[in-house]
Amino acid sequence: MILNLEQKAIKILLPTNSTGQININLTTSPFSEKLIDELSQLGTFLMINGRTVSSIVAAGYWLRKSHLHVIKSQYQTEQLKAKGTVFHIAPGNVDTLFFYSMITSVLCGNQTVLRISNKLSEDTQKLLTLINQCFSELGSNSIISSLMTVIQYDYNDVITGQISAASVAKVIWGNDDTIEYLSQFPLRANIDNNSANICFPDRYSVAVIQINDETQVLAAVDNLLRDIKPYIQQACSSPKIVYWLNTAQCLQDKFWQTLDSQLIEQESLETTDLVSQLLYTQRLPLLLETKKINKNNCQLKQYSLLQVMEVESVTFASIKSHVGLWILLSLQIDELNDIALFEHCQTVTMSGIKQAQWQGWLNSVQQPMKRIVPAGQALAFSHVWDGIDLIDALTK
Amino acid sequence: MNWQHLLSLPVYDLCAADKQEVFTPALLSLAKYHYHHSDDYRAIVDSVYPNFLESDKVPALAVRLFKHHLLKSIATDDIFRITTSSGTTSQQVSQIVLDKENAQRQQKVLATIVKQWLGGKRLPMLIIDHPNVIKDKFSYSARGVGIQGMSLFGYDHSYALNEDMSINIDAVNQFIDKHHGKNILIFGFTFIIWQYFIQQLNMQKMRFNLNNAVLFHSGGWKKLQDQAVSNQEFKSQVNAVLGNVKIHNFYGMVEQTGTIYVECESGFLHCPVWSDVIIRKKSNLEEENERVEGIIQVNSLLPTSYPGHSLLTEDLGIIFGEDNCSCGRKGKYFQVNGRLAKAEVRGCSDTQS
Repeated sequence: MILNLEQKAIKILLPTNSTGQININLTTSPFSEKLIDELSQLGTFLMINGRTVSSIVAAGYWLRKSHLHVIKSQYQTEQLKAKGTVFHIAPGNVDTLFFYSMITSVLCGNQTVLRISNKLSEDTQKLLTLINQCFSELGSNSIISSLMTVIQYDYNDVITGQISAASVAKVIWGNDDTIEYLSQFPLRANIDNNSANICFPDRYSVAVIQINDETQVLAAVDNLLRDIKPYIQQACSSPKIVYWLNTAQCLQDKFWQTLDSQLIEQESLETTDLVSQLLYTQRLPLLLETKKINKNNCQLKQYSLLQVMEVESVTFASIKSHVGLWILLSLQIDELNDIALFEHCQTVTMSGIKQAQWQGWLNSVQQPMKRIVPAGQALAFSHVWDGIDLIDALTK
Repeated sequence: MNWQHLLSLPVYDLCAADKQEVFTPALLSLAKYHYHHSDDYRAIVDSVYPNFLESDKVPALAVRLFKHHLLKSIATDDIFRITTSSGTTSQQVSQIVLDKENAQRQQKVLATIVKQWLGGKRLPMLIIDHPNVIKDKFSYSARGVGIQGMSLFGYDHSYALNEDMSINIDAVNQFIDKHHGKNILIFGFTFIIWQYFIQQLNMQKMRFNLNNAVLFHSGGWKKLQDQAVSNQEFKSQVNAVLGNVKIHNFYGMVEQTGTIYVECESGFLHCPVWSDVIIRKKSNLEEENERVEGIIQVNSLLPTSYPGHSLLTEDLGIIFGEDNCSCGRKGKYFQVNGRLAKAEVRGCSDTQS
């Protein structure tokens, strides 16, 4: 069966020479050598030709052969079959996430159609250009180019309905409203009766940092910077809150100053974002309900680009309204048990805290977060994301 | 604040030093008033501007704050009216809390400013809109507020449009015939005048020759800029269709109703004595120099029932000078160049774009 994407309202970005006729029955064996081979060639191509863009290098690095084999080794791949055609709806501005979502699907041998935002960053456009170039080098026999289609269209019930009806699964990244809206379109019924919407809702992430002396400041700064710099801190995985575990105030000050000066050196904010940053810092005292409970004092530490709001506790509203833009809530804790996480917490990064220590915390009380990673790796993609095993979900 | 004294001041005659002497202490005392009367304002100031009370520097609130929070410096029982900004259904609107005194003061100041341009007498008034925009009395839209406010300067109010935004040509003709030879006031929102009046008259090849009319209009240039229509083009089209009418654009916002900024004969918007305009740098929000484009901050002495006395807008503009406009009026004069790019909600959670 053919899904026809050759429509006026749809723009096909990848492959550029696509006829728009997608064979929805075309799949291949998950983790086949040909797939791994071509994907790792794509990885090498990206690392060489995209070396000026760190997110592209990271994407290429993720595709190295040894890493794909490590993933493969975790599954009984000879018993797995591709699921079929999978429709991915990528998040608006966290560019590279779409790439991993799509690649994981292809690695499972699925026919993969991805809808991305109409507003693309320069880096994303570059990434797409490079994949297109690599496809033409791989030639017409390439399996991955026949399994990957990237499109743009203004949300439109007819098109969303058509693609959904041709797919056995949808991978939806979005807030609750988006997920609800996109889930309503029926998927293709199949004999295994295993069609599914795989949803990644809105989440937030936090950092836990302990610094004992000045020599540790720089490394801690580097790690947090790596986690908050991309996508102006708007990725779900970028920490919005820093919990300071028994760290002297002077070391914290040193940390913030260093972080700020590194940010200014490397980044800037557009005027619109500066105004939004000001708006959120002014909203924070209200979102934190400082006056109502007449405590929960908060105090802004204003740096050049970085804004740090020293708070006593965090409210749900203050997290939900967070806009990134390098604003961090800062809390003091005496022990890990002082951390109170909301249900939608995704990532906790640990900086300067030994695994044995946080393992003990994990064992003592059930925590809602989906993963704990070392600081600096908040944005590293894993095929198990938000507790969902994508390989499992995208094969049968 | 001594409003009796403030209201007696001439609108456009104080030079910089004289204005400073009155305005600066008045704004500061107003800010302190809000600090003591609005829990929300005090929470913001204590957290974000902890040195406010010692430094005497009045912080500007982001104007979008009023779209998220209902800020007020009066008791709930004293709310006389809540004014909202216009906005499509998907957008949040600003909510401005007014007590009777504040609402009256807005009208009074608006009247004093407008009289500077229209003279003291009421004029026959043609409103380029449909009569139903002023229906809801408690929660006015910005369009309703604007029309309601301006209506005080006219009599025999006639509406030029039908509810479906088509021209009510009978009403227009009737109005013009009836007031032939008299000074008349035409009022409406810039885009509506352009799209539903001037363009339509043009299409129907209708021309008028109104030599004693003043056209007052406001509401922003965004939609006209999208159609590449400049203020200049607007004026020349209006003159071509309506005749030699005097045209005054004005800038203002529902968050500071009353202190409007009217465009003079030389093409500049003028600051009245009760408000002040500051331009902030696009790179870091610090104060910008004259003749450089930046973000417009508006300070006004009028808001007492809500802490809207100092606002960072999302409009871009340039101050061209102070006290030396070629039209002869004192005070700062400036232009508005458009809006900041809309802030996008972005991140993992946004797939709507």
